[in-house]
Amino acid sequence: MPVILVSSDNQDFKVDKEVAERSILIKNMLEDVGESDSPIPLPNVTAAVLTKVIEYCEHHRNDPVQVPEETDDPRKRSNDIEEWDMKFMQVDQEMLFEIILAANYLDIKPLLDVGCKTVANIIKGKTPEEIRKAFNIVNDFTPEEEAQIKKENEWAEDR
Amino acid sequence: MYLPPEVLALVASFLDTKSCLTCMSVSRYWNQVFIPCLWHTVKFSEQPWPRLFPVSCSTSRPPTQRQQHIVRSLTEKYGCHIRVLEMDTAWLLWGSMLGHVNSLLSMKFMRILPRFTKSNPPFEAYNIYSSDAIPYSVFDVQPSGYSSPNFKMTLACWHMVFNNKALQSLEFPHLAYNYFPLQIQDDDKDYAYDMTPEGKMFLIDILSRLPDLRHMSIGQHSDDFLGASLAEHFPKLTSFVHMGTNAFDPSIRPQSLRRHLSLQSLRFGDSEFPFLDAEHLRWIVTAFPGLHNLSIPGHFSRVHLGSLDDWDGIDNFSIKALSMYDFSYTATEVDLSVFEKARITFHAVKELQRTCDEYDSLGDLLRILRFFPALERFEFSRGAVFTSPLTDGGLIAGRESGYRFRTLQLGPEETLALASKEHLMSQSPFLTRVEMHHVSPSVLLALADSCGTLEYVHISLDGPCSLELNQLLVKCSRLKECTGCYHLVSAVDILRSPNWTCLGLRELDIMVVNVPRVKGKRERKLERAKRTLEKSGGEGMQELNQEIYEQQLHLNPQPKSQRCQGKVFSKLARLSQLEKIDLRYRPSEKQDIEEIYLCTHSAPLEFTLEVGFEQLGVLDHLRVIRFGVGGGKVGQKERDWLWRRWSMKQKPGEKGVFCVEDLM
Repeated sequence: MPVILVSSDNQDFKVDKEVAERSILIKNMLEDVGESDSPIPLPNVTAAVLTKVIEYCEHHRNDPVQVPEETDDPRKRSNDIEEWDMKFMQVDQEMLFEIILAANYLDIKPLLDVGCKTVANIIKGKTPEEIRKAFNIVNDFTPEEEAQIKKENEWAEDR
Repeated sequence: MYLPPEVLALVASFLDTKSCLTCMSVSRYWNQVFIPCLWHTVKFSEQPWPRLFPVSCSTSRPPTQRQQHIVRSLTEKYGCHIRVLEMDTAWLLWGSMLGHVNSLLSMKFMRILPRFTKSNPPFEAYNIYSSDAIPYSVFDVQPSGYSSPNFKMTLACWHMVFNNKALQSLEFPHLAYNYFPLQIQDDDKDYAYDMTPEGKMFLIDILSRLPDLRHMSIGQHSDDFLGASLAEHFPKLTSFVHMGTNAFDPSIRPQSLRRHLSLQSLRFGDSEFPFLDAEHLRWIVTAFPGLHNLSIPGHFSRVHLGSLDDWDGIDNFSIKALSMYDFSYTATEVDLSVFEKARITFHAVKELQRTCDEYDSLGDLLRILRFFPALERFEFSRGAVFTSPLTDGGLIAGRESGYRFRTLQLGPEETLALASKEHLMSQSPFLTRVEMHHVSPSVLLALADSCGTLEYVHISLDGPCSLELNQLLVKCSRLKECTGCYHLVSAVDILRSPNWTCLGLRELDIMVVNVPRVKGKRERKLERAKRTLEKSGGEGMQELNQEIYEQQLHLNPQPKSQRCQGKVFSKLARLSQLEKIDLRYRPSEKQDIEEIYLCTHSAPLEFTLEVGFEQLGVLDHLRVIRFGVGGGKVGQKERDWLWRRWSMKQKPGEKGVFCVEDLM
């Protein structure tokens, strides 16, 4: 049975229940509501972003449910993105962030992970100034604070 | 651009420490988010932390004033963010860990070697004294010993435990000559101290008050733990590592023992426990009925297992993984018959590993397997000499279906009979990883035919297996790696076969030979002479081979051979995930000189890279091409082409091995 999702700009999207349930938020909603035809409003997601998210969910509709890996190491790898996902994430930065925010809101863990990995890969190897430039971030440190941080981080530098 | 803190923290979890440090200086908001991420895990085994906590401080040289100052100011400021701590305990004396590191989830004390002696005490400024929490009276030590650095360190450790109420995992150092945490012996007699029984109970009580503690690893001689304490004081523990084994007291009947229901993992980490006898096993499975994972440094003892005769209930326990340091003596005829007699079956054991260097006769592998019907992983790191291989030629009695192996790894010295190997392969439909030496065509064919889920194949072939290897590539669609020695495949077999299905292949060792070509007059004459010589068995074969080789050397590439090679390359080019390809001749150990001579001399000429460059160029992931250019067939034109496509470096010392870096 298809489910109707409504984006913030009032566009309707008809998707299979199986696809919509990739989102834990929607899955829980559907479980709470039970059998119902009423459309689900998603006030935080625009039509453009929702189109992308649905594209992702369609492609991954048959993926097994992710089991959180039990590792002692909190550091995870960011270079294990699947090829399709990599292509999928080749969007402009605004869209990338929108997708991540939507994945966070809709609770689609694999998509959130892929998005964050993509951001992590952009960050890697860059200097603070380059990161600011890449993500359009304003440096709001005072010169004193900046010097302080630099001094504090000295121990970790290559000698 | 704004990402909420929890999302930014997730980004941080995919970054290395160095990038996290960089991110801290981006903006105030990022600084706040990245500080906890950076300080979450402080391990002296991981860069850059050794720079902050050099290991040298516990040996002779204490840290410099500057170092002490940095550590103190940083731990005071950021210590509250540390969740996982693993460092040299001596740093407790210098860093202001106490009082500032209070939210640990996991703590691992390392190297608590009592190295400080009176002769090198030049440290200062550590304020670790007794408190109400851990009073001096717990330790049986003279007041003059209170200032001993070793004693202070012990005191600091216990304060750390006391301060960190949220600890889930706690590891004390594993040193054979150290009785920590309940006792410390000092080389320096001046500082020697001990523990009163009341003091010991006091400390056990502190540990038992950690509500979330699930994993504990304890040094040697803390025997009280395995017996009464564990069940009594630590009912929620799920994982326990114990370094000594004196705790087993066979005089305690398991029936009267208090059971510990939640323990799932038990590991013994020292060779002081050389074998597992029946009483031990009985003791363990009775005391810990919920055990999934048991790791023992010893092996089953033939002598001691004999006493299992009267015990029928042993096959009902829940152990899923059993690892033993040395499984060697168990599988001799005598032991197997003991297993049989005692009706021991390890129904839940999924892994069997042997990492010991020395080895002994293992008996009949297939008979061993009878006692481990659910085995999924079987690894024998080095030589595994199996005697009396499969004799009846059929399935093991009582086994209806095949084996459940996922991993099968046999060392280079195994002497399993051909029939047994073939049988193993043909009855293991779940195999994903195989590592084997001396593989014959029939074994390879069995692999290709029955193991459709294979992903990693590392095999060394003994003889030509052209058809069979090709078959593997055709049938095993999930292959990711196929490597090993002597992977000789005839070009004709490749061309005649159906398409390869292993499109996800990332690493391939393949040596293409027998490319059809038109032979020169002189060469044909020489080959006729060679055949005559082979029949008559006369001498001079080597000279003839040499001459044939020279003839081939002067032959220009022919259209027919080039067409054929082009087709082979177009097959290779379909493997779109390919990262490494090795086209060199790599003989396996067993091959005789004559064969090696023939192959090394003729093969590079038959199959050259030049035809395939354009086709290999479509492979986006290809990073390394290994190719033997014995005949110097990579010309300038090809080099130029390679340079345009890749930045290519010839590997120093290895002619014909190119490591390429993708520029695109």
